[in-house]
Amino acid sequence: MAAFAPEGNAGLAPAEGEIDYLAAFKVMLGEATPRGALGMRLALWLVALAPIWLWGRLTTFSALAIPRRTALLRELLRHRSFVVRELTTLLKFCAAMVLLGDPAVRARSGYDNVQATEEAESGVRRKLPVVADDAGAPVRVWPGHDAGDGIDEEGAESTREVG
Amino acid sequence: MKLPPLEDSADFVIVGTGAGGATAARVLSAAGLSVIMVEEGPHLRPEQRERGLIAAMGQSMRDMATLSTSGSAPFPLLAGRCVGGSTAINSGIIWRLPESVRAEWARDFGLGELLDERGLGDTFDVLDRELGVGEVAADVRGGNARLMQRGAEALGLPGQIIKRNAPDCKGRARCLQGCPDGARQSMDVSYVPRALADGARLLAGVRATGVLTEAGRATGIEGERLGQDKRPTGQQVRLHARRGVIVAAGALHTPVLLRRSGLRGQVGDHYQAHPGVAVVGRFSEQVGMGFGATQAYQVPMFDRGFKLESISLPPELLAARLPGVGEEWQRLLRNLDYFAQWASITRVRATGRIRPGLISGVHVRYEPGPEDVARIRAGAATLVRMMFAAGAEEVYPGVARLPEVFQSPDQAARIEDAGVRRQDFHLMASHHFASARASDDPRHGAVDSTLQSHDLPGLYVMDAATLPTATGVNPQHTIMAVVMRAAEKLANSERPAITAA
Repeated sequence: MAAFAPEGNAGLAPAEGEIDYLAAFKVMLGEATPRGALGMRLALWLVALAPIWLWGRLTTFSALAIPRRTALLRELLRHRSFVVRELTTLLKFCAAMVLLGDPAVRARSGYDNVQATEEAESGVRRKLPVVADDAGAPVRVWPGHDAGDGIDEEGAESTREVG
Repeated sequence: MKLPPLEDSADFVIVGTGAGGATAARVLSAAGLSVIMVEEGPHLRPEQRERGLIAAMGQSMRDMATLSTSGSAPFPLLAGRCVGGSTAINSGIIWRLPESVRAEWARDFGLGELLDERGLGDTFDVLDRELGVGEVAADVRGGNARLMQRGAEALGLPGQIIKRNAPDCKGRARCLQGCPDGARQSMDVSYVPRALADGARLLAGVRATGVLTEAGRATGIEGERLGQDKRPTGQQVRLHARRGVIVAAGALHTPVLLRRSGLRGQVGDHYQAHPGVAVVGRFSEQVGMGFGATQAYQVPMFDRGFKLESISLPPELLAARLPGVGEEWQRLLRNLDYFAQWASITRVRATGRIRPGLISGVHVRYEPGPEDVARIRAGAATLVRMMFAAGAEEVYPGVARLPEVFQSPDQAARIEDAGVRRQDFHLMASHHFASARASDDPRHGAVDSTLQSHDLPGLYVMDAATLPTATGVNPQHTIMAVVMRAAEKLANSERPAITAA
């Protein structure tokens, strides 16, 4: 599962040993229906042996270099067979559960609006812009996106209304 | 060491503490009848709710959402497994039963008295009051809903703010994991405590395995106590019901319990669900899905057979929906605050069948038909158009064999192409219906208009299984209203006997 978001990649890149995929996978296996657990195991084998049945190469997934693993997973996720596609998606789902379940990775994901979360924790209610306020709504721009509107991340943060 | 069997008795034994079971308990215990509630899952206090999805789903979601339909293209079926049932993991969306559906049920299933228009309206009023139903407050609607409203208004679609039973919502977007504030008035913080205050008893961690009968009448249930690891401890449980057994284990599990108890007829037939699909869009502005009510805006399009909703899922599920793998996936994951996610739920016509499973507990055969798939396609395509109308930079339709990324609203038409098959969608369903449906005619239903079994006197079914068809809207309020009316009638019919005793 680590191959979905390999260490050392630019981006979210979990540090070595930061994520224990195996332990979490075992928890999920233990909670699943027998049929669900069978599907999860089948998914692992399907991917492990994919170089053989998909590419005709006598090797296993774990023996591939990282870029080849990524390429293989991409191919499996787009496979014409529903079974192949869904079983690989099941593994991606598990990987996402483990990865974003980690507080440090979650923090790096930007999902949590820290200010709003802190306010919610402390019981403060926060006024967010509604549609009527759209014209003046604070905006943060997608990294690298050329907004061209003169609003930068800092400026946007400072315009937030807190009730 | 073998534990001694646990035996107890009450006027009514209720299996399940979700919308149906808890409502029945609330009514019967308030009427002075003794009640034992049995729940397979744990009793969790709000502060015990986990934030991480793996732990949270293990706590309160049945089989960690791995139960699925059978067949060559299965899709997952979600249900709660804790005190409060699915009401403890849903978004608390409140809808009254649409009049067209009410009239259809009354006419086609002989449920005119149970579903009397005025009486049902009065019951909804009571529920609204007791559960604090109201529109999501503006300050906790969140960016996801704000963008959906913008998209709907741009396209002239009939959008509206969602009504929920969470009057003090703080906008933590953690409905799926269980509200850590107890703000959502799910059954675990509303009707179950109320029933307990009126003298009802609750046995959590007990799995009902069968209905006891004597002289052709339901007289109780047998079950087994479960440990914290969810495995049987070996302790047997026998609960005797002096007046009636109420099964409210949900539309997926109620028919299984009944069939394992020897009931046949219509039990397990006619199952329906609301299959749902989700679409994700990336915006150039910060969306803030991590703050706000989980669901706050909706676009009901009943004439087209679907309803669109904003849905702020936990980051784990949002991440799984984003396309790609490796570096490209991580680039998206590092910017989760820029995504919006909306879903379409479809009122399907297809019916399925539920039976006890050989491998797992439940076997569900259910396959949307061609007309249903057309509705699913239309719902997903409308979501894509709304996303772009709201200003999305790009949209991820999540439909196999189509581009992973749409750059233009014109591409939405590709989803509506008849060549897009059911198995090209990532479906899931969380609303389940009609697997022990009510009808005054035993040829068409498992229970009558008092929700009593046609085949086993003293056995009542009080959950979504008795709703004759899918509602097209979120069913919690309808389940509660129907059960409240049936339970009131049951309480009134039992009261003289108690006085005499």
